[in-house]
Amino acid sequence: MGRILLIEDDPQVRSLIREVLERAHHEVVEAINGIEGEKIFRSTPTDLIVMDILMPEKEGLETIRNLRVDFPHIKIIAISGGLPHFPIDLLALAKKFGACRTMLKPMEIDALQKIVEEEIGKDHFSDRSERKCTS
Amino acid sequence: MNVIGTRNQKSFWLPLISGTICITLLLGVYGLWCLQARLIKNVGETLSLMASHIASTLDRELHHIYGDMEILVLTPLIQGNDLPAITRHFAAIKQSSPLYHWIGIAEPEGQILASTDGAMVGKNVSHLGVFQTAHDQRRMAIHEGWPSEEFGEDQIVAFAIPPIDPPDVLQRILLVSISPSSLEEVFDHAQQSTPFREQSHVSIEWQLITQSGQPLLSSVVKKQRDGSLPELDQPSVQLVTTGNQGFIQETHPHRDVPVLTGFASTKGHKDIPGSRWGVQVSMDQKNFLPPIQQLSVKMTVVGGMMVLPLWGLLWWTTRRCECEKQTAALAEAQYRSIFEKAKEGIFQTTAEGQYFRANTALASLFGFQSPQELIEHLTLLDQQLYTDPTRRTEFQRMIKEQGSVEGFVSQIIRQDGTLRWISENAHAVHDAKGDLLYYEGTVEDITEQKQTEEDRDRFFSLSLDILCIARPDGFLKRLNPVLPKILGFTPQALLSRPFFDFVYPDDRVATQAALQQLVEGQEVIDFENRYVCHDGSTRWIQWRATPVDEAGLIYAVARDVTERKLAEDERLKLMEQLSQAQKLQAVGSLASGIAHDFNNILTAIIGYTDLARICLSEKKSAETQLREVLVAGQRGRELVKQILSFSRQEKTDHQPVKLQEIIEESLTLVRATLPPTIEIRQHNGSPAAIILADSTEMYRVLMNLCTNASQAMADSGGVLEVNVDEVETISSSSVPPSELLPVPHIRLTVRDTGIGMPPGIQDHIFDPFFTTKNNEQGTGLGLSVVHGIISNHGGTIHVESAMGTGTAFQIYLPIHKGSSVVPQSLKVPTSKGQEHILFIDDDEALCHLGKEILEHLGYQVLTQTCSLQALEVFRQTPQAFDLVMTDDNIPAMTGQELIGEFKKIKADIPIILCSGSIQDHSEAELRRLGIQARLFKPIGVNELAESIRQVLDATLNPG
Repeated sequence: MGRILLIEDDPQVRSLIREVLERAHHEVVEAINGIEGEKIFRSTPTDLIVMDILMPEKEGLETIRNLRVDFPHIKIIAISGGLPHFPIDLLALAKKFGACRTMLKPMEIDALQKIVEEEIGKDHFSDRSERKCTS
Repeated sequence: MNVIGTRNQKSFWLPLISGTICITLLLGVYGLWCLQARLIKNVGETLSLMASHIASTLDRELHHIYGDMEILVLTPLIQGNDLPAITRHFAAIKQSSPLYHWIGIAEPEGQILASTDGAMVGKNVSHLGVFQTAHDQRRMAIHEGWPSEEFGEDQIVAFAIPPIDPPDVLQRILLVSISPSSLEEVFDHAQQSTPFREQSHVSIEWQLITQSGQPLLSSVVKKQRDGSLPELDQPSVQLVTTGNQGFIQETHPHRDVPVLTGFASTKGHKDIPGSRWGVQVSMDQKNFLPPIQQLSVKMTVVGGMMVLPLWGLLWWTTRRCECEKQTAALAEAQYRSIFEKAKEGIFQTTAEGQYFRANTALASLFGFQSPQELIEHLTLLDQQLYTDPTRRTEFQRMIKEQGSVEGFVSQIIRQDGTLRWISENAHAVHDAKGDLLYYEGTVEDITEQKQTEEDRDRFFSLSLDILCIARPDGFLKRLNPVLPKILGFTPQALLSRPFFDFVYPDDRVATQAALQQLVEGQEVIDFENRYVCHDGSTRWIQWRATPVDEAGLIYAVARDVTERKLAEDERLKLMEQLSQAQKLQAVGSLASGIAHDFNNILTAIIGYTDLARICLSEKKSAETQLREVLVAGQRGRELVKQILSFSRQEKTDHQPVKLQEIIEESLTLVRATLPPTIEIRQHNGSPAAIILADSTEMYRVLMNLCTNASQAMADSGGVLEVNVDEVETISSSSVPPSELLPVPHIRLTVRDTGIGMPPGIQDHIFDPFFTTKNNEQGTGLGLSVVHGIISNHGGTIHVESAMGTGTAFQIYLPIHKGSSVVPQSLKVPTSKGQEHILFIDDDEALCHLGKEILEHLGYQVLTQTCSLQALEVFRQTPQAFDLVMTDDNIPAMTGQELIGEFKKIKADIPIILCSGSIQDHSEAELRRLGIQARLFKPIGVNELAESIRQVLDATLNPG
């Protein structure tokens, strides 16, 4: 059981993921964009961040980068519905920026739940190479 | 000068002719004068002879009488007393001469004793002078003058002779009277023998004058009352009384006319004093002079008539000559002035090359102080003047062959050794025989011109660009080396053929058109055509040429722009590629945007379906999850609708409308939705401006921009400004879009004081699906639709934004010159009612707005933002509502589904569907769904009122 920050601009997706995570007994904190999410995380850091990439106001990549600078051990799962290779591969970029896992929308809730559990279950202090995304 | 010479000859002939005439006249007059003198002399001599003849006749007759008397006195008879015998004797003697009038004898006392005229006997003549002289002086005496009346008026006692026997005793005195008529006969007879006798008009007057000058007989003067003749005071009288003979011109004593008088005197008797009488014969000069005088007068008149005009002509000619001389002198002075002051050198040289006349300019040009110095020093032209001595020979040869030279250019050495270029114009002057006299002409210093030409030629050769002179016939006349170098042909090859031959065949028509343009007097600027090089390749040449000038030439400059053209082509290709790439990018963005939204929707569907499955497997209700699935599905459908709406941006019917009215209308709607923290400010600098527009689309634009502005200020509040002003495009630097037509435009500015946009975002705001909003606020299609609408209206949209300051959208639309059509929505809404309306829209602001408008129209309104709640309200009291107005895009349930539900509850409830986007529903489909009317957002108040009224009225009165 962990505390998860969910940053997602789409209310329905946000609502779905929240339900999925809460069903797995995680505590979910919502934010609708990067600014809000960053603000929440900086006030009360969570075990994991599930984050959309394409968002208004502040998109995910910048948020990942900013948070990674101040919180080097942060665990982030990036999800995006953008086209995988056009104009850029956002998820690949998200990995480079510091997301440990990525998921392409639309995703199966089981898969999401699984990687959340994997990431929550990992040792916070394990080295960076171990946190490399596996998806 | 020849003209003046001819006039001089004329002026010479005139005096000659008039002089000749004058001399002839003078000679004529002199001849006449001589003739007259001769005539006078002849006539005078004739008259003189006539007088002499008369005198001789008288002398002869008188001497006869004297003889008779001398004999008679010696006759004793007369001494006796036989008076009858004496009388008879006397009668016998009287017969011997016609001069005798009577012969008588008187006593010494004076009494006449006997006489041939018996009437005289007894009369006393002692008182007569002649008797007294004879008595006293005992000699023959003659009476001078007329005797007294007692002897009768026409009698004359000529003389008395005393018979002396014895000598000292005077016994008797013999008296002889001479008849005047007999004397007149003598004169008449004498006149008969003159040459004038046959000239009837010639009257000759005569006088017999005593020695003392007393007239005895006269045809000239008349007798006085006493019978005597008046004394005469004529020169001829003086002359004749002194015994002269001759003639004289004098004045008639009475008639005062000139007369010619011939005179002679009788010899008389030596013993009788006073017996020498004078004879005068006069003739009026008019009798013989008039012909000559008339001739003289005629000659004078004719001569005068001839001479006067000639003199007049002579005077005129002389005067004219004077004028011509003056003119000639003036002209000469002028020519001299021109010669001296001319800027060109003027010269005359001998054929051998010796100057004999030159002006100051020439001397100055050749470096001399004066023309005289030039003439003295410059003796061998070919050696001293020309740098190339053969030029003089050439000059002479050309003049010899052509008669003249023009623009003969040579280089000369001035006196100071400097070199100058000159241009000579000269011709040969020949005499009447055709022999060369000299050369004359002008010299111009063309050194500077030559220098300019050299400069020009140098630049011509040096130019990097093509320079050429062409003719309208298509031939090049001159060209610099650039074109030959570019094309690889020799200059001769390019000059020898029409340049069309070198033009790339596809470009010949255009080249011909450009040439025609030049021929028609229009300039050709930046015309480009291709030329075929010697190696077969082509080069692009860009031309700039002047129209054909007076000399029929075209001056052109050109340059090889092949590299630029290739670069341009390359650029165009790249542009095309870029455009293609941008298209692809746009498509990619679109796809990406769609994919992103769809993936979110699919995420929800898949996720909630999974959750529903889980719920169902746990035997729990999955309704909530399934509803979410449904909502996600509806989102997907809405997204598709919007994509379709975007893809169907079509050019709609544009009408002249007042932009201000659209603004007012839009702001009325906007104002209702804005939070109180946002203030609307409006300024219209051109309230009457009319644009050609679809008013509905313009509402959409304004609504979109105002909504964006209000969202940008949602947190902090601010000012929403809507400004309109008129701009002159092109001239205004404030107008950035270059694609606008150069006509006056309206600029509509929607400005907010919101958060603003970073530059990177500004570049993409008009891209479809680009959005900075979350999904609750919009899809990202709005500004791209705005952009499309403005483009369709022939306008453009521009954005200026600064972070923290705000954003301004500027829309430029062309102003329409004409009157406007009032947008339908602005008609005063007259359709009102009191019916109950259920108004459903998920947007709370729009609900609020709809409620206000409808209540304003008099209706009772209940608004609902949630479809399910609305359905519930309706289900409870369906009779409470006369009409349902619903948005067709409401969360949880579409408008159509909702309508279906309404119809299930109350089948005849009239429905008005308010749609935010174009849908594919046909009218038939709408009827099938039970929808009475469909309105597209944004909905005008009037449209709304009309539509509601129509629907309600149709429901109340279905027939």
